[in-house]
Amino acid sequence: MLGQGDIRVLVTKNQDGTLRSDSFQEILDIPSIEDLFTDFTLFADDIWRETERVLSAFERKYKNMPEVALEKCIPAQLALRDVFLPEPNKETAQQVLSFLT
Amino acid sequence: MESEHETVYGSSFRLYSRQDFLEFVSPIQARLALNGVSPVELFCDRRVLDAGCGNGRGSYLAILNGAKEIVAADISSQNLVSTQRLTSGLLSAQQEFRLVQSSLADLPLPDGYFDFIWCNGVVMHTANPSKVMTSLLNKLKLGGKAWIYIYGEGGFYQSIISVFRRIFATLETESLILKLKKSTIPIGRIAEFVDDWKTPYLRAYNFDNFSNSLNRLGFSVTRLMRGMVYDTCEQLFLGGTKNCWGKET
Repeated sequence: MLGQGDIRVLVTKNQDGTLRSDSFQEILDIPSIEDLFTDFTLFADDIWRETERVLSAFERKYKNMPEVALEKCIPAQLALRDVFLPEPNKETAQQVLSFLT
Repeated sequence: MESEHETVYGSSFRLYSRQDFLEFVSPIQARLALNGVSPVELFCDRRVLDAGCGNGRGSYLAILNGAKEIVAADISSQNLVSTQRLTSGLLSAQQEFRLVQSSLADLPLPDGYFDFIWCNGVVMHTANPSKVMTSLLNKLKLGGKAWIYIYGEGGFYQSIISVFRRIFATLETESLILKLKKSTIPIGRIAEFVDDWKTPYLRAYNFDNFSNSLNRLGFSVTRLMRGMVYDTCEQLFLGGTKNCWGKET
């Protein structure tokens, strides 16, 4: 539900030498998240099916009407940060989804 | 497309008053404290690179904690103006502060020069993250340290954001910011929304892969799990997933 979580690290350089970018290509040069397909079927739980259903319907309805979508996205985004993230569970996720239905 | 940073970040960060800015800095100060990281140890008497400075939070912390030399670099000229404005009057006579407008992949700065690099929430938004990461790590001297924040992959939050990003793809950033300003949400939230919705690239990473590649190249990595209540790492730390669903953690 939280995925990998925010990745904050302190890194220390213990070895001298010049690095080459190909060392990181495979790890870092990946597609932006909107270009990735989220396979909701990986998750057996009902809430993921509900998430898929709500998001698919929302995107179909508003993909050509971003200005109208904004009215629903603002409260949903606020709920994501202020309601879901501090208490990530089925109920708070449903609260977020409720703004998108 | 990286030039879009001028609009996305330059335009939203310039809205910050000094008070907004201090509120924006405070979660970082809290994260340092919660993870037992002393900002004085990180910055005092160090040569510091604030990489992708935004409106200057890293520079602010470096100045406040006694860095001897600070270079703030950003691709957005407006962000450099904001950084200058929001850190003005803080420098002591012994401190040197420079602003550099550049892509982080091609920084006009010497390798092996910096004691500490601050790169907070930047790498995943650049056109060439591998080049940026390589460029930054090459600027570190042996024994030098870097604070790096990148997004971790997966989760409910990103499922929602990915849909919003596709819907807002055709909406001009300036127009979106204008509409958000007309709503009642605070300035700090506007920058947060635009950061998620309109940044040209939003990649999310796997910690083990990231950490392992750094280890192979001779870097040690300490993950800092503690954070604000809305930080997903803090929720993982608290075991917040126990009440959640799905296969991932």
